[in-house]
Amino acid sequence: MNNKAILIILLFLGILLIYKEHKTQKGFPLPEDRCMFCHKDVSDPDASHPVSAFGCQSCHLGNPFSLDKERGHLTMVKNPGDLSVVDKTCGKPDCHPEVVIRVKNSVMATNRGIIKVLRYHWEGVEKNDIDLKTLMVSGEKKTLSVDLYTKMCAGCHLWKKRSSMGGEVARRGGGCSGCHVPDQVRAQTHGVGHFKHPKITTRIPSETCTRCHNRSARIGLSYFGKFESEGYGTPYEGNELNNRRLSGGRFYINLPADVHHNKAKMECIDCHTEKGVMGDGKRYDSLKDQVDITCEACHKPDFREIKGGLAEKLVFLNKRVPRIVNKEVAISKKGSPLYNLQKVGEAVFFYRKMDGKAIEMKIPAREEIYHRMTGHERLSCQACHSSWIPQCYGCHYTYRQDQRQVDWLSKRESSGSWRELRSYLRFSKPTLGINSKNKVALFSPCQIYVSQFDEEGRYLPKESLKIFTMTSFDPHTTQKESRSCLDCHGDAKSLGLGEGILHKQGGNWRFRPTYDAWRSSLGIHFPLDAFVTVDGKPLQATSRKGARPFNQEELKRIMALNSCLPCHSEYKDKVYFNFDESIKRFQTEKDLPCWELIGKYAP
Amino acid sequence: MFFLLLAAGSLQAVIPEAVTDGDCLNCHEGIEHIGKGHDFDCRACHLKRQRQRVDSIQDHQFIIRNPSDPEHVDFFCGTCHQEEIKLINASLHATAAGIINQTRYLWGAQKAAYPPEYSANSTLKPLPEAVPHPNSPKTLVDDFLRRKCLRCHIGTKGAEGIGLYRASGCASCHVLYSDDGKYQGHDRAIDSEKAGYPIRHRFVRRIPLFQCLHCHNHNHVGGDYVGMFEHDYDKSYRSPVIEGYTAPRPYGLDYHYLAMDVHAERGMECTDCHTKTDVMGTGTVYGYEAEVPKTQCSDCHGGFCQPTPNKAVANIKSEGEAFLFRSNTSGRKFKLALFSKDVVSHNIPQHKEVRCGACHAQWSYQDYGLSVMRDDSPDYGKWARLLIQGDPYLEGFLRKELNRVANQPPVSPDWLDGNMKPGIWYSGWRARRWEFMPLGLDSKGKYAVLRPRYQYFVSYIDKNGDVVLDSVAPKRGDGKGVGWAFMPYRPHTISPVGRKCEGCHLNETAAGRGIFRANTCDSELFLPSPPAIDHMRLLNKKERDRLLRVTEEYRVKRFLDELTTTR
Repeated sequence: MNNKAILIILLFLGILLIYKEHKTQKGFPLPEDRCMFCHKDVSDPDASHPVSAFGCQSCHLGNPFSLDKERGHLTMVKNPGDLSVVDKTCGKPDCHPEVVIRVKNSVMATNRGIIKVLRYHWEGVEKNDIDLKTLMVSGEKKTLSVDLYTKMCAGCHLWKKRSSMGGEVARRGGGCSGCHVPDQVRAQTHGVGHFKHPKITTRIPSETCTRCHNRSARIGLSYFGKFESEGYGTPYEGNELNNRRLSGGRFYINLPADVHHNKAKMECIDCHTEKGVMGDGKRYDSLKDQVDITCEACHKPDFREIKGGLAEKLVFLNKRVPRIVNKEVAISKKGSPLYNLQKVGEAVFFYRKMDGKAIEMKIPAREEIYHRMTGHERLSCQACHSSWIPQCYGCHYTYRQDQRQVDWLSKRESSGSWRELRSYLRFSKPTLGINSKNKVALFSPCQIYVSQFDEEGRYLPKESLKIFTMTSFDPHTTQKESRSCLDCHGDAKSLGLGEGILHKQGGNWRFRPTYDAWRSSLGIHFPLDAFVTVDGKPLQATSRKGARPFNQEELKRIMALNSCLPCHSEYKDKVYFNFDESIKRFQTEKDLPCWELIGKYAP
Repeated sequence: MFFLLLAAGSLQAVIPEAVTDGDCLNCHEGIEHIGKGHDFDCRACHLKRQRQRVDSIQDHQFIIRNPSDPEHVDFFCGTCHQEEIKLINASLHATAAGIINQTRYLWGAQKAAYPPEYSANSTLKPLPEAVPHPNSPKTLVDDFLRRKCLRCHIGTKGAEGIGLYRASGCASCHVLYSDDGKYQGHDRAIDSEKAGYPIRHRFVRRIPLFQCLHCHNHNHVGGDYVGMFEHDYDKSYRSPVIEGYTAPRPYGLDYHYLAMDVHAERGMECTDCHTKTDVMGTGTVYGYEAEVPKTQCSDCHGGFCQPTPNKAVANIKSEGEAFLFRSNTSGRKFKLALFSKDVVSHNIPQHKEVRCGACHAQWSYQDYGLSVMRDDSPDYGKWARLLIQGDPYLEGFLRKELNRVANQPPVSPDWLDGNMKPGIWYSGWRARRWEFMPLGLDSKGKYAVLRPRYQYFVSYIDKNGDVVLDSVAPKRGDGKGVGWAFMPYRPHTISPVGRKCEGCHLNETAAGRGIFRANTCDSELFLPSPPAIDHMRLLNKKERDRLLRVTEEYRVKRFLDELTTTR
């Protein structure tokens, strides 16, 4: 009897199960995904990844055959974009294997740029063989620079698990999802069964970028006109300090934003291409080499006719920028299509990726005279068109081996703690020099002092470091107008000498610097803002091979031109066609109009 | 002979019944003679008036530590130095009339900053008591002045701290204090480890530079003479780390050291230029610093009107073609560099109207946007990174309170009456820079460097934590707009070579147009606002255009200047 009852119940349950199974909606005869037995009503993350087609398991793994929560969730991953599982999820052969390889080799995942520069300057390592991944895997004894990296820098990379650690750091990382799944709270409506899946998108809002890109070169701040201030928190708001805050107890003030933001309301992704951001597969030693976009790509565009391929695919994914039919598309320096810069007949339109708004661009048929000037061939766009650059002079680290600090990679404490102090900040009068591509570019300081203490808290003078570098980067503070001729040719700080008075003594240029680093107890005999002496002797190193301050010859030429400036202030002035010749003529031909004028006023 | 009886408490037991010099000396053995001309017995200077005729005192209760303090000066020093006391009482060192009347005007409490109405002493109307329930900048300003600004006038000895130790009254200048405030003399009764004593029990006539710096520090003239520029307040600016440690903070803050004034570089001290009339006044009550007749650059170096030094200056002697200046302070002789007509800019007649410092100043104090908050409520957490504001009292107070669980409501000293009062003032800047030098016209109608002084944002939080004033920009007392002022001044950052023509000409910042072409709520603070005193002003449109316009003459003269080479 008992057995019979059990049998009947089992039979009934069996039928129920088969019935239920039958009733479960399956869009495609695709996977055997029973996750949706519980998670019935889940919205699609995006049009390309409909739940009805993919189910859950294809991204989130787990055991799709089980109806039991514990078993079903056993090998599940909450974030399929996480780089530690991504080979089995986003990167599996049928999906995006090629992109995943690129991303893993990109500087956002390797941090090779930071590590290389640190090791080169601190330990003289020319060829860097370490990247973030090797540090995560190996427990090798860390050198000083690597310890700094793991404790002070390694909170920003794609391998970092999303929502690990606190504050802004928690919002960083997460592999593919780090960028493609913008922050949002998962809205659960009726229990586990019905919820809104976080959105996957290629329209990445800038807030996503700036949660990382707000330190060091601070381009994610500068672009929006934010300057990390000296931390006063002024003006006060009510009974509190100001609300214009950044992570880490920092504050900002507002300066003029980049014209691309100010005027065109462009976001980071409007310029930065998928190749620039996710890399092209090569393991670059520097972010700069990976970046794909240049000013010229848009302002002096190279249009190509493109049929299908990546451009079409990106347009399709974007869903805001118009389709490319019978149009030409601009090409980046690495050959990737800038699908949002399209040529329609003779008109050139730039489309904002976030909303598809068209901005008509005026591309002059021939370059303007001021962009063709003899002698200015080496100028980068930034040299003249950046209105300011964040400058942080003097970075004073204390490294105490008698104290402990959490390592971002292992998330464990280890001996050795870092504390960072600074001398002063500036934003105006960016300093110029020659960058690694032999272009005149802007430089900003990165000047490290390290005071080391041993396990007993004793100061170690010999292990303490002083490293002075000037680094070149695009500050992202573009303005339409350029700096004036005098701004570069006559300003000591722009020339790389630092603030001070430039004058001639006994026929030679002399310089009276304003900052007295020696009396300020900085242990050096040159000002913090001096990149080079007036005789062209470099005072600070650079972070890239080939980058340097102006040399003596260049300084001389730049300053020589300064004398002619207020009279010959036009780009098209003939004296600049061949300046050397002009100088020669000035010195030899006493009947030039110059001399006539001088005679009129000279005593 | 008389003695400074200082360490009051510890000596009570050994004071004999009848006081004679010998009795004082029992303890104060070895104390220095105060100096020539003051051969009095101890009590002549250090015993209270009502006890002068009594030949016995029980303890130190009737001892006056500093007989030159304004409270006692008439009775003690006044017998002989009535004239000097009259002078000094009328001087800005005692009245602080410049600071008081300008700030009161800018905060809307009086119709004009000049002529001065109020003073820190009783020379003019004494500064009013603070209002009990302030609700506007106008009603807060007297409290602000009393507790924040008037730390530095000779009626008080101000805050104590490294570099700040000094006395009040005559002794604030004439009795020297070292930076650590420790006694270095031979008086056995004085604890040489305890701070707050003069170096020696001695009057001096030649006042060295470091003595002036006890007050004239921070980002004020005086500090600039030796190249000091304050670090920012946030704790990340406690740098550099020297030999593993951050350096002590003289005057309550760390300093950048910038180019010294060339006069300091060569070894001249403040009193070489600043004579007795500069410092102690002429008996006239002045309303601001530049009104006091002073030694001019041209007195020593000559100038547009007169090519050679002013022979009336006693310290200048001619020696053949050259002129020598003899320093009273150090006795050293300096060969005077003369105003050279070889310099192109010295040959431009319009430059007659330009202060030497407008070109020769190498840098300037440009402290933009001063936010001040008086908070009467015990809310300290937000200041944890900002407790070092150049105010040793505030720093000590915050350190104590931040370590407490149950906080006390704040109190801070009123430097005028010496009483502790509820509430404390916090301050912060928007940005501080040294490289910009906007121009304006000073009280004599000459072009001079301007500095922001100040662009106030006033907040007041009452004892319940309610916000009464929320970053209010004060309004001037005569209704002429916002109470922000840029004031012409004389930077003491003189360079032997002037800045280049573009230091002023073709220089948007010098012409008063700020740093950027388009401004934000922060960068508009780089735009000068009119000075607080009527007979000073910003450049007008014509002057600004002249500075930014290129004439043929300018071009040629600039070219010639570029060719000029100095010795």
